[in-house]
Amino acid sequence: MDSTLPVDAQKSALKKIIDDVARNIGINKKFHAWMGFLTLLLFVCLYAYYIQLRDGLGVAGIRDYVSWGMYIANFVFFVASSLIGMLITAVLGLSGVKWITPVARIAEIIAIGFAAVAGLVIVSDMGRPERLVYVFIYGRIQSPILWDVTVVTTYVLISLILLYLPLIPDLKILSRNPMLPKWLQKTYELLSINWKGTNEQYQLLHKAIKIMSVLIVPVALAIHTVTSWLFASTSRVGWDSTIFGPYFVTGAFVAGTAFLIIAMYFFRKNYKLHDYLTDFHFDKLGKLLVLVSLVYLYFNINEFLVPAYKLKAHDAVHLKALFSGHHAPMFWSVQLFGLLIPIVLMLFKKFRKPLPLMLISLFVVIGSWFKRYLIVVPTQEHPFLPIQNVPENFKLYQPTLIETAITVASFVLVLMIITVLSKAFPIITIWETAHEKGIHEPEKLSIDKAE
Amino acid sequence: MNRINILIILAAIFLNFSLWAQETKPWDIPEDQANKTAPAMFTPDMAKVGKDVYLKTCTSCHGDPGKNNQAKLNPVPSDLASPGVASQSDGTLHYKIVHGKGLMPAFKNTLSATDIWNVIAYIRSFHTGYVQPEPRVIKTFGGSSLKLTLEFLKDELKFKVLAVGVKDEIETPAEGVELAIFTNRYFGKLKLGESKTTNAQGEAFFDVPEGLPGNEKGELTLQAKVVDTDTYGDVMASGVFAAGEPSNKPGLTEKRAMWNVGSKAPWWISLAYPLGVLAVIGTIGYILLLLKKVYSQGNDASEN
Repeated sequence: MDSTLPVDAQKSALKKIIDDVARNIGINKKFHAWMGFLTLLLFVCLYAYYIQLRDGLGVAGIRDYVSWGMYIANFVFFVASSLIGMLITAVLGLSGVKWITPVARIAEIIAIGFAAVAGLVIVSDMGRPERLVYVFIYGRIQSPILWDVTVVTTYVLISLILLYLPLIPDLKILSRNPMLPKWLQKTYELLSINWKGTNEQYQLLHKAIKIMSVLIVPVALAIHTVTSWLFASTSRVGWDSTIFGPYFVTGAFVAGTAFLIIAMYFFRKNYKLHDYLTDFHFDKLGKLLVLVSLVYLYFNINEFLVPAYKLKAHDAVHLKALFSGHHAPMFWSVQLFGLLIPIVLMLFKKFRKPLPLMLISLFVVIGSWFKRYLIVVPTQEHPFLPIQNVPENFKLYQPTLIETAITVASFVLVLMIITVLSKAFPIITIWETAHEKGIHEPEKLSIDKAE
Repeated sequence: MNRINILIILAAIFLNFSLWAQETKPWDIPEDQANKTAPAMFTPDMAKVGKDVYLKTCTSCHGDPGKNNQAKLNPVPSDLASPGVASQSDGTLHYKIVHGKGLMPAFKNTLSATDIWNVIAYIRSFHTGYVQPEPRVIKTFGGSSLKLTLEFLKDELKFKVLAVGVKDEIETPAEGVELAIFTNRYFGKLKLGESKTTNAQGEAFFDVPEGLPGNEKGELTLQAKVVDTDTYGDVMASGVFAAGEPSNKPGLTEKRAMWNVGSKAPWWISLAYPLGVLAVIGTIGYILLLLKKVYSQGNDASEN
């Protein structure tokens, strides 16, 4: 970073950053079309939810034995994907990794989107959603369900704060930008809480960001560990595992990183951010994805090979259904196309270019979703007590169209949150990018420019 | 030509099926079983209890007696109010219920001897003109009903069961009746020792096993039962005796435990959870404080 850049050069460099970022804020035609499409889709799916509210959970494929189906699998996936915020801002940020600067805010927005909707996904699995409040009134402090509700809510809150804190200088910089509508400028001015960019303010801000980055680590680990305990605290085959916590957390990093890569690709293309989200960043994130995938592969080997070596009576039934039974096609597809092949491909530099990496990540994300399905559903199909005298659809779980639509609704909501946040706020951090480019006091320079 | 072939094949298949349906074996009921009579005269109370059992166990196939609404099985189960059933002896009906055949399940292990006779009493209430034969006579004492009394002999550490036959309100000791005793446990009953046969005085003695855990007073709930319910019916006697060891284990939900209600959670979790939540809220509060400082710093900066 050249610290002796002349002021004029600093000004023009800053103007370019601000223009590139501010261009994408606000509502345009594309936004209308995209949100219109999402809204339409949401209403179709909400009709499915109306049917479920009217007729009860029986309209979903879940029955007495497999009572956790697509909803819970989707919930686990959502919690998993939301962990990316912690991985980027906290783990990499605190270790001083520099290339995360243009990526961090996207990661935080993804985290908020998934974590906020995860709670709603749970509600969609309730036959009587109006009784949600009973969790708080009658909840037992010993129950992982209460812990889960607590940590997920906390995580959403902390993620919001971690999105907001680094936004403050940017809001100030943009608050007098003529490219933005007046009301947005005023909102930014209000939200920037008197930011002047003084040394003291920067010290306070850095301190606050650091504290929250430390705090989010245990909370994020807790949300996914507790989610794994919802399963691991029972003695059911396939869930009764001591490594379920780290197994879930590493799997979460895989899903989240892959989703981040996809999001980056679309922002780079649609927001024309090629100068900020460069091939270098994709290359780095590709390497990160290889790393977390390898760790996850290691946990997979432990999770399946150890029980398969011993083959205890009930484990055998479960593993047989996964390895060669009717879940086998999904199981092997997930392991091959969602984990093994992506790892091998991403070892090569040319597959870490934006487009191929995005396509690989697509496979990884889809694989991650089905992996959650394989964690949640098959176990329930073989309980310890024999299943007797029940209709056929009690024995094998088959998701219905209605629950698929309700699950699609949750994805639509996540996309809506990501879209709105990325349209309402600068998607790339201006002040940090400016500092890295040797532009000092971007607040003052930007105000000069406006005047 | 082809069409005729298909018709022949279809006809053959149809014939095969109808033959198969008729191929069910006839009932083969031993004569002594068919001649068996009920242990007592049927009463409206017996029929009433029998009705409950019938609705739970029999209706799904046999339908409601007299309504001709049996299940569409092959062969179709009889309507139990029909003359065909009315003409069968009590012993025949009893044997059919106990042993079953084909689609008719055997109920000897699912229904008690008393309930089987109660069901027959219920079925008979639909048969007009039915006259019940004399209740069976138990050879050993010439009466039809047996009575048990259970006693704890504290000094000898034995349970004494006395079996008497009742005939015309006269009680005579019943010899040669096989008896077993049980005690209640968490789930179901525990049989104590082997079953014993009564002596000439109608008595049978059972040893009290050592160290049997009772309640906090050492009390056990005991039951003496006749083994041959087929002959005597479900005759039993029960009582509570201080024959066990007093056991004062705390109930599973009395102490703080993971499985207990929220107010009895383990102390460390009751402590850790709120502390964790407070720590997070406190940290967030501190962040808000920092933001407030940022705000006032901004004021100072503009004044300068």
